[in-house]
Amino acid sequence: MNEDADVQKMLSSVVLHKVDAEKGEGIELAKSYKVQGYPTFVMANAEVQPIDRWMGYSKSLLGEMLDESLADLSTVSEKRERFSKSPSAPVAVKLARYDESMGEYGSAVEFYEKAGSLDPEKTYAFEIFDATFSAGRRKAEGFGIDRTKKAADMVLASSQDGMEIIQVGQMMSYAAKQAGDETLAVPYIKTAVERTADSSDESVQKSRGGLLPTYALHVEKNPQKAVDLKKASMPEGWMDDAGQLNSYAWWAFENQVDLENAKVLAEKGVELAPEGKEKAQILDTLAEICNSLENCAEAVELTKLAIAQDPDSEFYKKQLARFQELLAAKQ
Amino acid sequence: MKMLTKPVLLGAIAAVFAATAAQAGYESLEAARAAAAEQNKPLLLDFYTEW
Repeated sequence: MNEDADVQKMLSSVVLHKVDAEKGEGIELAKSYKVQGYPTFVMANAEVQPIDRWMGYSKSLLGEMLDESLADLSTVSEKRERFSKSPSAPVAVKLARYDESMGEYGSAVEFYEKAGSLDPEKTYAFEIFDATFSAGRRKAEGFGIDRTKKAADMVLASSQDGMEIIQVGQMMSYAAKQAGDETLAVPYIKTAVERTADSSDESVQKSRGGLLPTYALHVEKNPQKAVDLKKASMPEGWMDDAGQLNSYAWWAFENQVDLENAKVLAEKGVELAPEGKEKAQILDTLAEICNSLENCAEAVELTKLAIAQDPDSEFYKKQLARFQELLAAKQ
Repeated sequence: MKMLTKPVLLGAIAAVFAATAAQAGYESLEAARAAAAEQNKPLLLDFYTEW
């Protein structure tokens, strides 16, 4: 049985409605459902009252979530009422997941904490960290890098799960960058790489490999090693693939390493990319690199080309104004 | 520009489109809701984007 058949069998108990959040009625639906990221799944009854909701996809996650949701078809409002009268860990987790996917991070963390209190044998440290990270990333009130760090520390203190430890390293790297102080991520990247060195789990080793360039850059402080590791981690044929060239060039820009070479690679990516949004994205990467190389005039021209490729994008118009401002300040 | 995606979801997102594309058949939420009522099954909304 192939994966499609497996998934279709899982979905045979529901009526699936795929909603493109950027087209037609999907735009308003995504807003009204407060969709925070993709994919988001909402299970509802025939009156469209929500029963359950979650974010992310893998075949196993879909199967697990469908089984859980179908086992209790009460609405979320009914689950909340039930929880207030008779609290239980499984319902607390369900409500936490629901609130997290709605962007209600404070409530989500509280429900995960309640779940931990109701079932002391389980730890929800990673779930709390994940919700805290998402809240910080979206600059939600009451959340920030200090709270994210505390939640990350809780995971490292309580978890032996190699993948969770790697994810803490990855996510703290992002959070520290967003906070403007990448040194904040160093202990987490170091712990993630060093604690998983002997893991026999192939997926953990693969994810660890993806973190090694960051480790070389921020822990070993060896940019050339980071560049070499990053290139070694790229998939076969990446030098002839526009998306992969963009991925490398963006990484180089974000980390301010290998910029001259990244510029050449991004230029090749622009040539290879099909007309439209993808070409616009690589032009934007190239513009950022040129700007980092102190060539604001070229950044302005490249962004004009990006706008021509994706005229509906507000983002590129903002980028153009930004680069024009930088250019004017230099002249 | 690179779309920023929460690391925990990396690698998983694209798969859903291929996996469930064959079942995407309703023109509107109302049509899907009516089908759910008729078949006496819950509705599963799958919010996605093409990027």
